[in-house]
Amino acid sequence: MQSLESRSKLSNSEFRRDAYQLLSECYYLPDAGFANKVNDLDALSEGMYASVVKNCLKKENLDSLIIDYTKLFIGPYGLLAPPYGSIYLEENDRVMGNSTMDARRSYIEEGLDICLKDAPDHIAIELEFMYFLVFKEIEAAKSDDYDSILSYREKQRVFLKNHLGAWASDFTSKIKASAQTEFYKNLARITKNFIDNEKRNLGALI
Amino acid sequence: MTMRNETKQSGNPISEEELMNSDIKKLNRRDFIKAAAATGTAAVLAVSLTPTLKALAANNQITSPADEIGKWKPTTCQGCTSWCSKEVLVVDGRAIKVRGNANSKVNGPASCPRAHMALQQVYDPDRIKTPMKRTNPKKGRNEDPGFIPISWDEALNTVADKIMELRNNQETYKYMLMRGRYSYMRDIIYDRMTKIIGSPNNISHSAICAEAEKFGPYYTEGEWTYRQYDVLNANYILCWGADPISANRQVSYYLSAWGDASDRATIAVIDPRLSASASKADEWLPIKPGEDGALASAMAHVILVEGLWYKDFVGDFTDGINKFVAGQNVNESDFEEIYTHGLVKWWNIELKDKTPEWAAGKTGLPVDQIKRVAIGYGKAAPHAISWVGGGPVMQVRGAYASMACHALNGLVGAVDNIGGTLKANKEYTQSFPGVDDYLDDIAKEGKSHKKIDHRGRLEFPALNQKSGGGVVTNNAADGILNEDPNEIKVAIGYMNNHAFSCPQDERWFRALSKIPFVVHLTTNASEFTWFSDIVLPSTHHMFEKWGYVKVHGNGYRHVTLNQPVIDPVWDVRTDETEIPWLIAEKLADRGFDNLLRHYKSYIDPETGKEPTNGQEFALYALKHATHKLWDPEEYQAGDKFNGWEDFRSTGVWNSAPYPFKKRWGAMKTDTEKFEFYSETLKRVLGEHAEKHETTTDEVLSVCNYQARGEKAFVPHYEEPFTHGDSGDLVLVDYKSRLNREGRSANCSWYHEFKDLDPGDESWDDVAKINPIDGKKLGIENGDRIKLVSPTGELECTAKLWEGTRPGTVAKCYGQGHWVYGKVAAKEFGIIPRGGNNNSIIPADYDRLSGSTAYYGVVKVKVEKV
Ligand code: SF4
Repeated sequence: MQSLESRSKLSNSEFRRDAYQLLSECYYLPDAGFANKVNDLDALSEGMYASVVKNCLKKENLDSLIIDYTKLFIGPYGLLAPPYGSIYLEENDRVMGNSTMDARRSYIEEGLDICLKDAPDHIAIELEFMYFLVFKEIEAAKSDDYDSILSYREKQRVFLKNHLGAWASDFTSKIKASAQTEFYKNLARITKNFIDNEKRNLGALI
Repeated sequence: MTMRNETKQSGNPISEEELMNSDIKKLNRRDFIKAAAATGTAAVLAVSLTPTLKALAANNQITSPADEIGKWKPTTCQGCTSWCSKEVLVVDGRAIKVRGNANSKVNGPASCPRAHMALQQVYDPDRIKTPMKRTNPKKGRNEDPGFIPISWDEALNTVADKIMELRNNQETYKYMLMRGRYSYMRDIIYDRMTKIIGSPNNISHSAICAEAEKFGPYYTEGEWTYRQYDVLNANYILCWGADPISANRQVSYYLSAWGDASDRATIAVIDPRLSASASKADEWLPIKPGEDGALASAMAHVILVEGLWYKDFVGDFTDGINKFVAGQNVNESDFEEIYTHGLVKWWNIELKDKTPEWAAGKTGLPVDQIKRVAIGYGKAAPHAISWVGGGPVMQVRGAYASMACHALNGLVGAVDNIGGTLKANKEYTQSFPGVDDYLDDIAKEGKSHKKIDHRGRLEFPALNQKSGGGVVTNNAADGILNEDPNEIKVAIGYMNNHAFSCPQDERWFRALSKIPFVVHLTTNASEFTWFSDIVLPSTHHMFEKWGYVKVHGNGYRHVTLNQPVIDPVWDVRTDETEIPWLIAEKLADRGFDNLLRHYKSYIDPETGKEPTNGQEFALYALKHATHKLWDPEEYQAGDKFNGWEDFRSTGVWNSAPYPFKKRWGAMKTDTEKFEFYSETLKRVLGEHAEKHETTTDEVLSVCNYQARGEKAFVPHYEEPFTHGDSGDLVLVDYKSRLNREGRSANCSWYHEFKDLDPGDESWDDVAKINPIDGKKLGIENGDRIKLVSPTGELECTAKLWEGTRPGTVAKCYGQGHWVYGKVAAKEFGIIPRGGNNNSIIPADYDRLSGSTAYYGVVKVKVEKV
């Protein structure tokens, strides 16, 4: 029974795992492989955005995506949608706040650390960390390690509550308000819906 | 690398065709994994047993997440030219607190308020995070540059190509390096790189700082330098526009010592506005802007008439009877000077008629206050400091005010004396290897061209020790615009923002737009960056960089290290060392390896090793420069260390204590004495005139001074020169105590605590007007107003404040950024927060020192918005 239940959840978890990974990818500077991500995004949203995505692909070339990405997430144009948790969770608009260090602590507790030059609470890194936790949950499920499944789900819930889930909504509203390209507007919507869903479901799944 | 996919190529737009070929299928959730696998994103993942990680990596070395207690690490603050030795509390690789480094005998454990904002600077989300390039070929105030991220490699290749183009065309003199703030690693990029490329155009910022402040001391006592003041032993401290507890130098130290100093000394502050120091002084002399020379001459007059000069230094009448009587000439032979030169000449040429009554008419100060301050100051001799700040001297004709105010120190014997004004103590850093072996013919020819700032021309004497010895920073914009003496094709700027910090900023907008290729090495996207083609993210001087600075105060000089105490958040490199090294590597790739060979000659004094990369280079260069301070074998004086690591972990070297009176009779003037009649200036000015085949009178006339004949060689009063005759109020520009040299406007604390500047308001930029003028002009508190000058206008809020002298409007410099970051600008690239004083100050100069005039230089109209 138990093993059957684990298996039935597998596909759902794999979906979540891949969704986190894909979303994380989408918050990197767009490059030539970007069309694939657009495909995947459409899939992730169960085709909801197919027409929008298609339209945006027609109009946009990579350059305008790069400029939009730069203005939203890198600056120096006032950094329209700062991709860092601390900006939303703390006062004074700075990176590397206490919340940032807390996010990093979560990674370290899992034997991980940042390996590129950016603040640990960058949206792409927090999404990747969630991907990692779901990945671990799936692994546990494969060996029917129910304690570990629960433990990784709890870690997901806590990280979502204290970090990603606590600021994703404010962050994505900023993108929606400032993005010039349909792609980033949609990405904001998809991210928000997905994270909102996660917040609801993770509470229930435990 | 800021969130860039390193494995894939970026920069090539996808063609329409490619896009249409992308297989966009409508998939449901079950199909998603399959699709993801097919499109590649999740290809590895779908079959993988280990997670595919990109930003995160296994790191089992760190088992305990927190180094909760942290460690205090030594470094240096360059938030102003106090250059304090500091310590930073680093917890888990993150800087969280700042304090004074108690090992420094200059600043000790003291800190000023703005020190702490360094934390907001280093963790500013608006920092430049990655090299960027401009995508909009048009340049201008209203042209969004369209910066996009590029790799370091691409950025450096572009820079090297542009430099090689100049070299191949034998026009290397069209290369220019603009330096703003610096550490003493500066010569690597400023001097060596410019020379080896082959250009005369390394242009420093010094003349927009306070060169005129050095003019007076140089042409009286032979020291072209800033002074230190022995405040704890002084009986009188006279501050000319200086606001020691807020700005100027050694602010941390003076903040900690001022209480004790004011217990002992009478403090008088001469400033048209109530500064922080004025608010705590015994006397505030709210002088009319630009009339300081009149007050200084009258004070000297009173001191002489009252017989209060310091006889052990200056000497006396041979018969001991004071013959200084107002209006009467004195025989030079009646006075025997000891350590000074030309007192009687000074009296006869300038002082004899400069009575307090005369000065009252000029300065707007009461006669009895002028007398009281002069007598009080004279009676305190020789422990009586005349402290010359930028205010009275960074003005048109300011050179002579600098001499007049500083000469008082000579009169009361405070020069080089206990409780007086001191130069810097001796230190033992050494310069970097020379360039001669690395200059090829192209470089030699290029270097021989004239400089773009026009220093040394008839109208720009810039007499830093010789004709054209100084810089005329702000005039470089005109040089560029007029292609005089030549076009500038490639320019690099670092730690500077001339498009904001130079008066008549709009000239710089045009000048930078005109240069075909501009590179900016910076922490934030400043106004200068806006006009750049390539932007290179630079390290923060206090937390991320190797360097050193030397500075004096409290009777000592320290050499303090800038150290990388944290892991930088973003992919930044050091402006003065690493970046020139990286450019040198790229130039070598292109067949020009002179610069790289030169840099490789900076060997590590400990190991004898040659640097192999930019980071090693930075460290070896620093160890070389400070070698005599830390190597016990090379020991000279002051603090002694066991070796580099001992010095590095202490963070600061202190000199021997100050040798008082050592320079009495051994000054570096032509007479070796303190010159009230400056033989030194007479010679240097004469040389300048001779170079241009004219007379000194003609030089003075062309340069807009009033003196003629012998007057040119004595400290004297010149009437202020003010633009904007039809204006309502004279602009009193001054620096915010939170400025950090203009790099802190994107810190929220700057705006939150703006009311630390007397009269200012939090989260606002106010022009302070005396209520008397407010009534006359129909301006009320809180009105939105425009200040309009002949060269520009700005918008801000009116504040009626008694701390402003009637007839003037006082406004802090520091706000008015239209870029820099989302806090600094109201709408980035479009609307400034507050107003930049430099958009209403016309570009004009104190030409003898080359200084840009900031103060008392313009009358502005006040208009309600
Ligand atoms: S801002 Fe100036 S006075 Fe303050 S700590 Fe830094 S260098 Fe010293």
